[in-house]
Amino acid sequence: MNWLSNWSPSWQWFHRLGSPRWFYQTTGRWLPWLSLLAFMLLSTGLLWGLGFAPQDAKQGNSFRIIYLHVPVSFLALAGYYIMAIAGAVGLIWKMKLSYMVMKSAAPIGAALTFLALFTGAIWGKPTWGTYWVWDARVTSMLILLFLYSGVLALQYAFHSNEAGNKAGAILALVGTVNIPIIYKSVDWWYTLHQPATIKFTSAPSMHPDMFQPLLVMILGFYCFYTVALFLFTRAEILRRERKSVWVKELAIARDQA
Amino acid sequence: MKFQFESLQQLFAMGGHGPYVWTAVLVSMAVMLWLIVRPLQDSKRALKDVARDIARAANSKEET
Repeated sequence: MNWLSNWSPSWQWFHRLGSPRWFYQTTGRWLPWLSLLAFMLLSTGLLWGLGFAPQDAKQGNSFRIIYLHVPVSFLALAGYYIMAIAGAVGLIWKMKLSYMVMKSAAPIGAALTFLALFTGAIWGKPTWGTYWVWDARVTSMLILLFLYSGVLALQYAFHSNEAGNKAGAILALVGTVNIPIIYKSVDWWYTLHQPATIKFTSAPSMHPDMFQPLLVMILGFYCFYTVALFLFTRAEILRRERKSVWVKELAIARDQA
Repeated sequence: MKFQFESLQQLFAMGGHGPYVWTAVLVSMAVMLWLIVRPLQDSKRALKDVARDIARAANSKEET
C-alpha cells in the first residue's frame, strides 16, 4: 500500500484524518455544540412523545416506548456499520485511529443493543403478553449483542494491541451478514414483531402527530451517538498515545489548572 | 397539539402502562448517562496517570 502514502498531496487530508492528535483537537471543539444539540433534541422529543403525542388506538400508552425503542435500535444497527467500516479501514490502510474508533464503537453498540432488547421486552409484556419471545427479530438482535461483545472481548484477549485489533476487525466484518437478516427478519419470518414503522421506500405507517416526535428522537440519538463515540475514542487516544509529547503537554497543563 | 394527561398522577400512571413506560425511560437514561460519564472518567484518569509519571520521573532525576 506504499503507493497510497506516496500519493501526495491529494492524500494529505486522509493522513490528517488519521492523526489521533488532529482528531482529539477537532472533536474537542465540536463536542460542546454537539452535546447541546443532542440534549435539546432528546429532551424535546421525549417530552413531545411521552406527553403530547396521541395515544395508540390499539396499544394505548404502552406504545410510547416506541420513542426510545426505535431510535435506540436504529443506532444499534448504524453503529455496527461504523464499527465494521472502521475495522475495514484499519485492516486495509493500517490506520491506528480507525482501530480506536472500532474499539470505541463496540461498548456503545453493545449498550444500545441491550437497550433495544430491554425496551422491547418491556413493550412486549403489555402488548404481546410476554417479555421474551424467540422471534426472528429479537433473536437476530441478541446475536448483534454477542457480536459487539465479541469485538470488545477480542481487544483484551491478545497481548499485542495489533493482534486484538485485527481479530476484532475480522469478526466485525464477518458479522455484517447479520445486518440484512435483522432488517429483513420482520418480513421473512413474520411472527410477533411488528413490521418496520419507517421505511426508506414508502411513507411511514404512522400518523404525522406520532411520527414527528419519533423523527426528533432519532435525530437526537444520532447526535448522542456521535458524542459518545467521540468521548470513547478520545479516552482511547489518551491511553494509547500517552508516550507522545502532545499528550504529556496536555497532562501537565491539566495538572497545573 | 395538546397535553394528553390531565394531571401528574395520570402522566405517571399512563392508563396502567406507566410502570412499563417509565421503567424503559429510566433504564435508558441510566445507560446513556453511563455512556457519557465512563469515557470522561477514563480520559481524566489517563491524563492524571501521565502527569503523575512525569512528576515521578522529575523527582527521581533530582535525587540522583
